[in-house]
Amino acid sequence: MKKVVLIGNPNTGKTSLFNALTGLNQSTGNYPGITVDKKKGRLNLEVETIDIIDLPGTYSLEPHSLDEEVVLQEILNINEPIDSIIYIADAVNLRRNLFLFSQICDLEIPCILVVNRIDKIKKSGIQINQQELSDYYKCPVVLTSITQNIGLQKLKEELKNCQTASTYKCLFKLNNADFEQLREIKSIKNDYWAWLVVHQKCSHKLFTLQEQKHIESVLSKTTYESEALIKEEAIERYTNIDLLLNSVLKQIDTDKSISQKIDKILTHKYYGYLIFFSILFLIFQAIYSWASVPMDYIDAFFGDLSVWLRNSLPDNRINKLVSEALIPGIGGVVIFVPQIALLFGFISLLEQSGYMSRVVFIMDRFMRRFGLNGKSIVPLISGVACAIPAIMAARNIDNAKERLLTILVVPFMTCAARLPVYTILIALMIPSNTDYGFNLQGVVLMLMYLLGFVSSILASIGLSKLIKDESKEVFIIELPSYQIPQIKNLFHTLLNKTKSFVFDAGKIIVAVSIILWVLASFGPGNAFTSAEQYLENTIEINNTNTYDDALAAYKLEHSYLGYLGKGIEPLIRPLGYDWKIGIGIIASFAAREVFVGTMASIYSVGSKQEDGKTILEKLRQAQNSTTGKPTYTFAVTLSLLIFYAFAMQCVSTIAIVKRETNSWKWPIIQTLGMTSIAYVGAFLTYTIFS
Amino acid sequence: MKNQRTIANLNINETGIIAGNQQENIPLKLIQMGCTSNTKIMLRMKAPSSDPLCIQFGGNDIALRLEEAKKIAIE
Repeated sequence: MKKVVLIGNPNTGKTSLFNALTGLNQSTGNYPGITVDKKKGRLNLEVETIDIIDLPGTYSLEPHSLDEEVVLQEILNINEPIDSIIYIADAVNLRRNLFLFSQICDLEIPCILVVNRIDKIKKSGIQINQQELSDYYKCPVVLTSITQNIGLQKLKEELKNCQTASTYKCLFKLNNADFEQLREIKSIKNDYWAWLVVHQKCSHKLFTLQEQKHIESVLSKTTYESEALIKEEAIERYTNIDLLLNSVLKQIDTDKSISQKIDKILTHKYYGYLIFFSILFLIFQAIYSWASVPMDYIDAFFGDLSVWLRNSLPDNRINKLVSEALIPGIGGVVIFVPQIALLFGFISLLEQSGYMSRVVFIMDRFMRRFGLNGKSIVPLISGVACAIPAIMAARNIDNAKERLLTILVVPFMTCAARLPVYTILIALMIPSNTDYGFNLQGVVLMLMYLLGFVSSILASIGLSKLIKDESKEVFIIELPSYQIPQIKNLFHTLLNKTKSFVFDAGKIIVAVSIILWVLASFGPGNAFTSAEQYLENTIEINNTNTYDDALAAYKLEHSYLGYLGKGIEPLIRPLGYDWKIGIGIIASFAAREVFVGTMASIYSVGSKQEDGKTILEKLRQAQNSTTGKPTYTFAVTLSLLIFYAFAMQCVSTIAIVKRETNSWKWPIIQTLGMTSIAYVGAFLTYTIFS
Repeated sequence: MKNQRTIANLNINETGIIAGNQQENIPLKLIQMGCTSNTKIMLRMKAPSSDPLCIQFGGNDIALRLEEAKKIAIE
């Protein structure tokens, strides 16, 4: 199948074009770098079907950030060469957009130049000399306006006729005898390819080991100043573009007066922050109040489904596995969907409108004090939903140190997975009828979010002193014109993000629920298998209910899970926890939200669920098996709250940090560091309050 | 060059032309966006506490930090 890639500057309508061509809608962001992963789609062209790959927006082939490296590596990929390139340029900003295009042309890969937002410049009565552009770059030029559905049919026609070899001849000359030796490698097709290989180390891994050695030996022979050379390249390209544009179109003065007026308010030194924090406040209010209604329904639905299945399926192990592990496990995933969809929806709106770049602009100075970057605000805010997409969002921070710091401190933010844990612990600690004119539980919850933010900032200050800054990259960000977000794009963002949450996080949660159930339902030795006999000797049977509960508790204590919990009990006893909480903590390392479900199953495995007790009531009645006093005293609950605020308890996050930092060093430091803080914090809390 | 004005000295909405031979002082990314010596720029706005700054050239609105802006001389 033909492989076509879609390239362009950020904010040119690239993702909208991708959606229009493939029908596989994804999000269009106004925030530079929203397209993080490689997105593929298919286009049926009657004669053939082609694969289209949407690459992250970039300003040049020389990458400044990680998501820009993706572009270079995809284009120079010799193993899976691309057949042609669709280059999308913004008509309103043709000069800058032609810069990257001139680099692409020099690669001698067949291209189609799409000039988008043609409606915007037609309004000002300006014509683009399409023929002149086409003659100069020796490629078809299509004028489009994707939002108004203009030019798409023409583009598809051009894709059908797309030539197999470029007729454009690379004008770029290496002018360095040493570098020219690189041309001995067959896959380095011309001088410009060689140039990119010289200056971009990240491209070397695309070659075979033997070729890599050759490259290294050639480069070690000469000394050269990459940055100065690349700057010269850029200046020469702009000189050529300016000459061309003289005959193609005159420089247009774009009308930015509306954006300027909005900016006056949104970046104002008082109103700017006031509006930003009001928006944040609104988002959190919405997440809690709007989401609670569907969440209650989902909770009730899975509860009923579980009871119904237990009663209607034959009474055996499979019945128990389904009704006690599988269905509650799936329910535990689906229940987060309303909150996650709302949060991602709001973030998508902020990005699409162009507001997120303004937040970066006004927050940069503040974030810099902590060793971070204005761009860190996006990962930190997203961290309130889930650390995984948040850590990935740090990819567009150009400066390596600021990016690393952001990745390291994001998990301190209170993610959605902590929310159910906090909710239940706070309810245990504070009676709901407390009324001081405001909801005290709500205030404590807010304090927990604040604690997350403050500790990420403090951690960043500490870490920034330890990490060296070797990156030359500086903070430069485009502030695009404000745009009205497209509902269609919003809808597809919600769909995609929710889908990936349900299937990615869902797999882990369901798997953990099943593993826990198995560990709790089986045990080594006689104590588990013949629990009835052991019990008969110790308990007088006068009430079937008490007997059943006692049997279940005895079995749990002697199951694999019970031994596991008891194994770590000595370690967590100083924090005030018993082995049952220990099981919850172990399970939480898969995903924090598993805690609530685990506690629910530990206190209900085998017991009569028809008694209709909620998890909260079960936890209130729970007794510490060694002391016989209630388990969840104020001190224990607060200590648990602190533990969950700091502990790095999410395998997926550790895995993503490993992938994004490309080392085991940082995830290990992060996990050990955060979990130590959690342990010490919980210990101090318990000691002080008990 | 004691009294050389830089981007940081511009008033809001004031235009200036980047001085010649500034290649070394302009960050690479800015050059690749089309801001080179002799480019006409305008200071569009400042973030609170005057850092970062937002400059406009050829239809682009680009924010950069004060530290970098101070290095780029204008005519």
